[in-house]
Amino acid sequence: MKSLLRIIRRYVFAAFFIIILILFLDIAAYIAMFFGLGDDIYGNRSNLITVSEELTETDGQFSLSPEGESILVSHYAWGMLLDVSGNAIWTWNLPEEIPTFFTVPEAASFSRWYLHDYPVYVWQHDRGLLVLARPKGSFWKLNINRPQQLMKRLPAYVLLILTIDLLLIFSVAALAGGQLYKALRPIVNSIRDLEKKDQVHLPETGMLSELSVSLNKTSALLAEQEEKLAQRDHARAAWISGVSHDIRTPLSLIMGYAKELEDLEDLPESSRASARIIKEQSLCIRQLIEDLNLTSKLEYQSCPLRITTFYPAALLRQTAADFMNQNSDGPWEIQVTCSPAFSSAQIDADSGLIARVFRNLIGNSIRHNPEGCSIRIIASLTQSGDRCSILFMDNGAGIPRRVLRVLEADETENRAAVTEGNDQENQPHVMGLKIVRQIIKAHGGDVEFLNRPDGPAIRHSMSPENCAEYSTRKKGCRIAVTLPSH
Amino acid sequence: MTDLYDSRILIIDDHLQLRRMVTRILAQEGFICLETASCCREAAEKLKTFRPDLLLLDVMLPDGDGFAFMKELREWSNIPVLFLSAKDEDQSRLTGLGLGADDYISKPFLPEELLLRLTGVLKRTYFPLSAAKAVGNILTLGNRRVDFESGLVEWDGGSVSLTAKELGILKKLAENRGKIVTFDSLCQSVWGDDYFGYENTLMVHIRRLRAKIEEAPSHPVWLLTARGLGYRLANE
Repeated sequence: MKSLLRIIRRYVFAAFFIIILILFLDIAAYIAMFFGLGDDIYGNRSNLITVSEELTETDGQFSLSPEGESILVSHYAWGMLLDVSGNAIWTWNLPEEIPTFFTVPEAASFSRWYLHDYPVYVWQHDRGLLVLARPKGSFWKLNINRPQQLMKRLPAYVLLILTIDLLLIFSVAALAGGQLYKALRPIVNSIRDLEKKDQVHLPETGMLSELSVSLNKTSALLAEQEEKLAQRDHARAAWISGVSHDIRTPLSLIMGYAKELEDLEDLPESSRASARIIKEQSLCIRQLIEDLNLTSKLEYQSCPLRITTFYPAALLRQTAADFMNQNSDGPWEIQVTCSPAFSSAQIDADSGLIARVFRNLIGNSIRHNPEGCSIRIIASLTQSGDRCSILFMDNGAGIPRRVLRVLEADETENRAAVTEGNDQENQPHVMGLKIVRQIIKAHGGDVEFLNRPDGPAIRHSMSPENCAEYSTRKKGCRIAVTLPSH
Repeated sequence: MTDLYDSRILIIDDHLQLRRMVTRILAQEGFICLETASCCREAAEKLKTFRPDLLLLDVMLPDGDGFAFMKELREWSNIPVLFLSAKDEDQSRLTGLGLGADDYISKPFLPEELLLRLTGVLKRTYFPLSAAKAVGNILTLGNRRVDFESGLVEWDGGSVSLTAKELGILKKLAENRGKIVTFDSLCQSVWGDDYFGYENTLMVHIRRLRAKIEEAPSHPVWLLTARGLGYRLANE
């Protein structure tokens, strides 16, 4: 909402400054126009002076210099010179309608206004009064008479009026902005609700009613799409769950009878070996079913996290110990190093799912390195102390490049990058690692799958101890998991 | 019932082949009193006539679900029940256990898993003393004998007593002999749920314990360290 207030504030100030700018531009234009004409007005005065000076009397005869003549021709309709008695002693182009004698009141009258509709201007001459007339309808004469006091206060008045104007402009802009803010607020709230996938219904009235109508329509459309997607996801998850449910009982029978055959001493060794393979592969199918179910639930968010607070160090050690106990005769070695800070750290997470992550990662190293390998797990807290950093490494075969590509594409949801040039059936199965990532992401953590220290950049969230260990190993895979700590 | 294998077991599952297979597995293990039912109605009848000591109960049955059946059963009987179900969701598991089931086995299962869990429940319910005796009161470590009852370590020509904590640690290791027991499990068994921070104390107790049970404590052959994980009591 703060951003909306900021937008409205900007709008009010912008409107205010635009109006001020227009006002000043108007004043400037008026002044420019006034002075443009002013040239002519003042020119009138200078013309009168020039003509008055250029009109000279020699031996009782008046003559006008060419310069004076030229001014008259250019600007005036006629001209005359009245002597002190009111008689015209010199005329130029005087129309017949204009008398050649004027009394003092007549002269006083036209000197301020018009003479037979001719705007006339007078100037003192040595011999009397010079009268020059502009053409009819060419000038508007106005005499301003105001009290002196008023004229003295005029600048203050102008300033006061301008200030009141500015305040008014600002108030109107603020009021308009306020109304816009009021109208926009529910719309902005609705857009935020849409972001959160909440349905909105705005009243379709007011100055932004069209916008409200569009938002309501969009919301209804999104809700419909969301429901369809949810239905599809639910149907898919239910289908996977159903299929895996239906396969469980037959698989129990296969595993049970395969085990019976495996233990049957009367059978030849080759048959018992076959039964063992059937049993082992059935176990693989069981694992796949569980993985498929879990991954689909995590993907469609139908797997609620059962969050508890626990020590991840204890869980990590227990999982590693379980593997060691199950494979005590195997060619694998698991070393776990937990920093004191990690050992005392607690996390809020689904312990069952986090145990699944640890099992998948350790199990992967064992499953993909049947010849044996050394598995090293280093757990510590990051420098900031708010994240657990667990590094799983082995010195085995490493993660196949194809698997890394699939994982990378899966993260960026760029399926085309994986399937390019390959058919879907030949894609490597990465269910276990995908589940690891899904679980860690669901807990707000991060996971990185790598083979070499010179691979993608080391995560900034990794602890210094893990960074050092990370870069010294030359072989095998390394998987870095980070989780927010309690 | 004097013998574990005399236990009367009722297998309730709508899948005929599965009933047959489970019956076979149990019979091969030595159980002789076995009966099956394919639905809730049949199971209710068998409960009266067969009087089982343990039920192996499927969740999805043609005329009802195992949870409802179990709920009804618990109103008048405490007979141990093991769910054997194709429903693997946590929720189903929690519902089953929440109703008072003694265990919940998800299909598909390995015969050994079924047998271990089933015999475990039977032992806990009907032979609690024998379960406690599984570890035995005497632990032999080469030429030394640990008597858990008296808390003494004895050897030819000498004996030394164990403290309560040392006894607790050794008992936990003996229960899981041959397997790694994590620091956390050991601490928890000795100091309870609020065990955090006792890791260093545990190491002190282990050192003292080695001095009592090992001939060369600096080169232990019985109480072995699993680096970074915990300790293991070596098998004979």
